[in-house]
Amino acid sequence: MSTYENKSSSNFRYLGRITKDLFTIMPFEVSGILLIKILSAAAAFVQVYISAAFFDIACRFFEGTAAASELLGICAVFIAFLAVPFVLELLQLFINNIKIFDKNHAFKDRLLEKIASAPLIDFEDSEFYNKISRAGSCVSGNGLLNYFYGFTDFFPVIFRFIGVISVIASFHVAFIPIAVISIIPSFVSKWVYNKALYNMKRRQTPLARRRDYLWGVLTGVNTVKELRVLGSEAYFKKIWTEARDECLDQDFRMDMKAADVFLFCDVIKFLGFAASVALAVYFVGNGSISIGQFSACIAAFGTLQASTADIAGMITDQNKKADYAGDYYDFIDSMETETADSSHAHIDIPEHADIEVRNLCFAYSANMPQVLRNISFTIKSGERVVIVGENGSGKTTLSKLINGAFGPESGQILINGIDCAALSREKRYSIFSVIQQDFVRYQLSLRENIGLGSPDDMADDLRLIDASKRAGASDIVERVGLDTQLGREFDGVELSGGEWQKIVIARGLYKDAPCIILDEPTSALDPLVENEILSNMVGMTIGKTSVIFSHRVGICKYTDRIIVLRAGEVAEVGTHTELLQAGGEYARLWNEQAKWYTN
Amino acid sequence: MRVYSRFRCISGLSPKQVASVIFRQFLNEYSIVFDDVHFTYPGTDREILSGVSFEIKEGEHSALVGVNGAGKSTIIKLLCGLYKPDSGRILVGGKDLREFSDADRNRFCAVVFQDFCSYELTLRENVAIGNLGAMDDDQKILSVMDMAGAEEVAGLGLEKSLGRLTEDSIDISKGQWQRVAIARALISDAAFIILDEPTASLDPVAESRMYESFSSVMREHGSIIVSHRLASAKLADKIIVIDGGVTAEIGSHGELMERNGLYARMFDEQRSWYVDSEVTE
Repeated sequence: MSTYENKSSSNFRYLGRITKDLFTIMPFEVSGILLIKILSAAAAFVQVYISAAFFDIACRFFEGTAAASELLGICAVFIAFLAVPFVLELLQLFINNIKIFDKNHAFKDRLLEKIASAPLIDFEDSEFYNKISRAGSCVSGNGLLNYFYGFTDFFPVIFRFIGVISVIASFHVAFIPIAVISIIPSFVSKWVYNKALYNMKRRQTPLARRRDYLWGVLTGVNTVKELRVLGSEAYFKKIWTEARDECLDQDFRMDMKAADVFLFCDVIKFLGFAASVALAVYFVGNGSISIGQFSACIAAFGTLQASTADIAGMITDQNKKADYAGDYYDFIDSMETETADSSHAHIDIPEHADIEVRNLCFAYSANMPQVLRNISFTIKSGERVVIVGENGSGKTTLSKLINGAFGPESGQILINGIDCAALSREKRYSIFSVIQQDFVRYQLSLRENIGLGSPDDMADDLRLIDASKRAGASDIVERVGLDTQLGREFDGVELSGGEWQKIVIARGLYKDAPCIILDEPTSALDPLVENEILSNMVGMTIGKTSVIFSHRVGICKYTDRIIVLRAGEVAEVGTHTELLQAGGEYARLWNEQAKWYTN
Repeated sequence: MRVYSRFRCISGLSPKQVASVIFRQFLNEYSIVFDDVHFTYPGTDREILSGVSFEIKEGEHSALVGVNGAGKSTIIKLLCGLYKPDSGRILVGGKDLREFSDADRNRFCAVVFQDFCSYELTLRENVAIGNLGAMDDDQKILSVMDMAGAEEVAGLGLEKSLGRLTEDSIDISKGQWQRVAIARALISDAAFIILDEPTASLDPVAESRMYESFSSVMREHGSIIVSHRLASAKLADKIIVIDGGVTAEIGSHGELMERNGLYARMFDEQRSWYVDSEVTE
């Protein structure tokens, strides 16, 4: 279901772009297909005339006014022309099978590029994932090509239609108005239906999203487990069914209304048909047209009816295809891209990192309260700093602003004296090794899991082993082996939570950036592993600027400075001893945690 | 006293809740017994549980402790009936867990997983999913939210949509979601509340409050907490230490500290970060 937030509902809205795109990607094949379509359109047009002529000559032959040779001649032409569509179809099949549908990859590449350059803050929005998934399935489902071919398929049909009308007109002018008037209602009603459907679907979107979400809950790996244990499957099934039925109901009511209208239009069409036939009989009767022309007329009226139905159907289909294609183009258009350093030159990683934060303010969106208010502090190169604060104090947001995932609303972050906003993305990221709380466990080899910290040098075994040693992961490397597949997805070795954490720390260290940011590095670990990692922390961060975000205030004893956040502001800054003595926010947090371990 | 409070409870209950109370009376006692349980995850080689045995009496507060990968979460999953043991038995109230229907199992334990779900539904639904009979019981919903420390969230209103599905829905923080999940378990009237790493996302103050309210919150239920934060173990009546796939130690905090085994070591290591000792560099 595409987003209906936008612009026109016209079928033609992407035609220009898709034509341009296809001609850029596969000019030869597309020209070939177009040529074939045009030829078959012309053939359809000519076909009508040939049929009419065939009838006419046949009649005159039996009346005795035409020669046998004429008849044979037209017969041969008629039969030959029957073969034309087959030949063209074969040609088209040939071209299609060479390469065309492989070339979706050009669209996919573009999609990946766009995703890679999307600002990270977009990923906070679940609608963004919906858009990506719809754009992806549009491309995989040949949505774009089908849309294009929807137009090219129009040619033969339109031409046949015009051919029929002109043939009928050539017999007697009076047929035109009847023919035209009888079919206009069909087209108008289809057009109106499309608009109404578009609007209905647009209104239905929130309900459809709820339905799809609930289906996801009922079938998702993670949720099913909880549903079963809570015994709430029946409840979800009930509300999913309600949402689904409501959607179906709306669709049904729409279809019922439409059916009434279409029936009415069909009746008019039929009346037009009957009137035309009656008129044709009258004209034969008074000699305006011949018997041959009469038979051609009847055939033509039949074809007219069929053509009208075809065209009307194609318009609706094309509308759906346009929506589908829109999933792709709207996504590509909707994204602002960040300034990317397109030279892909090797970035020299700086030796050290001074960080200064000046008057930083941030809110997730314009109508939400500010999460960070006027934050200012400095971290000198080589310092070990811990940032603490209650849930909701803005810790997580601050970590994302520092490492460049989000941009500040106002204020600056300066690294080595340079405002971050002036740095390219690559340069910015080269300064930090970020070890996130929700790190990724790549279902790849151990080497890759560590080596992705610096993807260009994954083959350096000694360096990999050194990074693992500093992270306390040597025993894992020895036990498992660098080139072993990790993770259950592909029958690899599964590591425990603590082991993964160490590997990910190794990944961060492997990058060898001057500043390490650790976000809750031990929250999922048992006391023994936590102790190990925190003890290693001192050694592993020597010579680097390190910023640790943590709930586990115990680590604060072994750091140079502590920054305490409260309600989006800097509440206190100082060493552990200073802040304990001050008896403020830090002392409160410390005592709350420490009191459980003493007495 | 207990009989009186039970009687008082019954009068205000829905049929489903009455059934649950009767069910509880039907079992003579609501204890949990693991008897030499062995388990390997399907499709893997390593035997996670190699003969785990312990007993938790009805109403007891217990803590499951052990290193990462020791099998603590596995024990919980077996208790929930998500998997069946390869060998050995799990008994609840003397009855083999295999004979329990899903509904029976729901009545005896309510679980908050470490990767609990945050449903994009109303606040009311998010809590009352733990006990569908209480969906319209505002008072009960608010009271469990209070117990779970989620009053702030309750202030948003029970009909508030949570998450990001609709335009007027609001996404709450991870810590707040965790408290909602705990309220979800509390509303269930189950005999045992099982919490798997309940304070991982909570800051020191919230964590501390949770421990403090623990005894009053869990008054009506037995509990099993799986946690690395040994402060929660200290509060438990019984600590079960899992190591190498078997129960290594069982006892109270005081007993295990005296014993000076794995638990004592873990507790000391965690404590060392808070107690003023020499700073090691």
